[in-house]
Amino acid sequence: MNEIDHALPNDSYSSTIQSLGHLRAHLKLVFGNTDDLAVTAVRVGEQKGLLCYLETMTNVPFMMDNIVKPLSHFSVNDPNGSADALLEEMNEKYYGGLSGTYIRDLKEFTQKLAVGQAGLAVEGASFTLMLDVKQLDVRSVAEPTTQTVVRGPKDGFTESADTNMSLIRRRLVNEKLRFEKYTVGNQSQTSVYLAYIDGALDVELLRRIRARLQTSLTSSVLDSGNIEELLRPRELSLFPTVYNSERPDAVCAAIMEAKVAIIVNGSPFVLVVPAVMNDFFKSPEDHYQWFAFGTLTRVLRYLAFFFSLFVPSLYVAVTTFHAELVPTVLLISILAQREGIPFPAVIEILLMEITFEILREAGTRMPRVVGPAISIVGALVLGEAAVQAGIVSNINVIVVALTAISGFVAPIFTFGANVRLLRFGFIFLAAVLGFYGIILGSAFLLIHLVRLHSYGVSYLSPFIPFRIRAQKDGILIFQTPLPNDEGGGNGSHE
Amino acid sequence: MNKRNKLFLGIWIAALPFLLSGCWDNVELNKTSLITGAAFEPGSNGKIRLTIETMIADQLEGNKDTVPSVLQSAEGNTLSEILIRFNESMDRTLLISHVGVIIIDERLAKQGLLHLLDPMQRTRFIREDILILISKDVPASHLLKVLYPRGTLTSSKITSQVKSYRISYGGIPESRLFDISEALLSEGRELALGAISLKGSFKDANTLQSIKSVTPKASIVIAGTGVFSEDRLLGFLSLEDSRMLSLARNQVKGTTISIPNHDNTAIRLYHLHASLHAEMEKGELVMRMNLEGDGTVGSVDESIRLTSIGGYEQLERLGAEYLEKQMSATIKGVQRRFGVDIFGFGEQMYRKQNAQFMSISGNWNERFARTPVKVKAKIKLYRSELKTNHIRNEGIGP
Repeated sequence: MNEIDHALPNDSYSSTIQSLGHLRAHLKLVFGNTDDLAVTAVRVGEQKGLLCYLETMTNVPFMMDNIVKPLSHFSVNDPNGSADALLEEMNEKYYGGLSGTYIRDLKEFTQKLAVGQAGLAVEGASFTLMLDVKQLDVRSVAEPTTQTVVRGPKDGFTESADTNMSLIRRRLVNEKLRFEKYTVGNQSQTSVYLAYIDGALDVELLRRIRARLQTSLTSSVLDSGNIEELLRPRELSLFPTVYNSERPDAVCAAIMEAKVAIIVNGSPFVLVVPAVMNDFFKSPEDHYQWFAFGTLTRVLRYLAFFFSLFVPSLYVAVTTFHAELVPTVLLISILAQREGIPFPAVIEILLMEITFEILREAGTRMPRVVGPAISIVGALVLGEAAVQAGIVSNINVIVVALTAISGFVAPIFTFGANVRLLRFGFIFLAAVLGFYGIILGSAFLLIHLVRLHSYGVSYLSPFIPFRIRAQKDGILIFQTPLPNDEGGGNGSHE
Repeated sequence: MNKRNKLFLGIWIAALPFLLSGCWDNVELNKTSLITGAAFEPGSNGKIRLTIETMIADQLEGNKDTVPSVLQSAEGNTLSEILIRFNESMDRTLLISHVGVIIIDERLAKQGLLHLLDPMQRTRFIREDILILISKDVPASHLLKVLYPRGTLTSSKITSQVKSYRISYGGIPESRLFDISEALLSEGRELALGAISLKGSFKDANTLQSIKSVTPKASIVIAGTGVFSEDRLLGFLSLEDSRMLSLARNQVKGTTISIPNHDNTAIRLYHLHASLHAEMEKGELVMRMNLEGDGTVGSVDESIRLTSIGGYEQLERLGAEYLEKQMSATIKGVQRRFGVDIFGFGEQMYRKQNAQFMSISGNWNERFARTPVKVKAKIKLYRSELKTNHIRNEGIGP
């Protein structure tokens, strides 16, 4: 933008529309030789006119029917009227549904073109008419790929913010639901929408989020991940403090809990703040099932979290420092397997953990066609053969496998990913200081977690500070009591 | 100091504990060997001769051509000293923490256990629940050398054997390190430890050849109870007496008794409970023991008819009589042969009649030895398994 401003010769060039020739020149200057810019000469009544639009952002057949066709049988009521009056007449008569706006400023004109509006200029008019004929191809609503449920809604957000807002609006039929638009990114000019229920929300929370979005210096926003980066706390945090979801039901649930959802155009992941640790252990499905089963799965997720964080380090600590803690029979079995392994336990664990991380990364990035190759190489060659060759022990493979599976139980991928990173820290601590190191690390982790806040909400809430009412959706899920419908009440039946 | 320098310094300080002190007590598992069993014997040069059983781990992975363990002996004056000298003959760092069983030679036990106990109780690496047994009639180290066809370690064979025996028969008292400490510290109860011995010939029992046959050349058997006065071994009780001793100490989970003078009649007892009473009545010590238990009919002969309550009552009476007789005999035997209270009458008196006990605590064992004990038993039979009467009494057939 700035470069263009400099390129414009300010003194001789006016920033408002002078003539069609001037407009053409300006468009040439701003858009350069881009191929999708269409500048078509038209007749508006007796006047010369220009229709400008970006072919890639507009619905061209629709425009032919609804803009160009009316022009052809347009007869002027007052041939002597000014060009401005002509444009106004056109707009009011024919383009009522196209939310036409009048633009005087050239900079604004080009910006509107860039987001997919068509501009109609008439020789001699002091403004142009901008018409909304935007049409973009969007991916249709499909099942979410990252947060799947067995039972529950199967629709997921898409890359189009309009679709996403519609998905939310149709779930929350509430006139208090607000979508607030911001434009973030100097270069990309990405639309970002805050979704919240007016009145239910902490004003301070909204103020802080708005401030973050308005003051951002980001040049481009290509995914909601970029916005998440804007919303993080100022101090270092080892855990995500912004929740993300591909599921409209999860986001709607959050909005109803007086949280703010952030929809970023171009990303199917909608952000939610504030987010506490417990949110990352929730799956919307927990509440769609029998409450006891929901509780079981949630307890399992917490268990898996601890497994994922501690199992490899416990293994290292126990086998190198604290053999006396292991029950004899188990120790004998571990010993028999470790017999003849050339590496110390730490190296062995790190070897397999890193191997697994590489496998996982390869599995995520590689083309789908070569997918089976990875599983064969990974599972058979690395797992089976390494054990057979006596490079790693069976128990080590079990430990790494258990850890790996546990790492993927977290319903939100970003949380599991952070835990995986911390796990390496714990392995090092265990290798150097044994259990003492693990306890030390856990203490620091706990201190960090207690200090961490997400927009004023303690990260460990509702456990620290303990709120008894919030426990019904904590680790355990309780049933909501039903209203008393035995006798009495409003309805009567004979 | 700016923020970056502060962070850098912080990282350095955080790294110091690792760089300076880390790993000092790190021991890789595959560079260690587990001591799984130990045997104490009187030494010929030093005071004590210690034999340890260390596990060979890969044998347990299924390689049946090697022995499961290696035994080495060393002599010295103190236990702590001997323990650190094993690498004179062995390759790896030894881990003492998983000793499952310690066998003390009869000869050594007669000299007293105290000097052996202290190093074991002091270290944090030895568990309080390790089995401590006395070897009867054989040198303690011989017992560790007897192989068992399952291919397991001798020590784990012994541990498992003792545990199973306690569940099925009950003929061995609890003899963990913890129990020794408890007995030595308690008033009015003397120490009793389980004893094991060797059946068969020891010659070539320690080679693989001996376990290639379905009848091993030698096997370890449970041999009753070693009776102690303070920490010195006095002698041994038979298995039958050991069972009664365990019964009196409430350590029997279940056992089966055969009724004398009735062919093939037996009762399986469980929920056994003994209550001991000792008090002074008119200046005289009076001791009583009440036994209670539930039972099922193990087998009956034709003379007992279980279709009527009378049959059950008869059986209950017979069982109770037998228990009373056996228990009295055991107590009398202990009083006569050893003259020490291993049952815990004094302990009960110490707890319940403390003033009375304290007046005679000095010569408690003598008072115990010359006072008869009244035993009363009560058995309640609840079931007779799948059958009621003996098959001859079914009344079917000609």
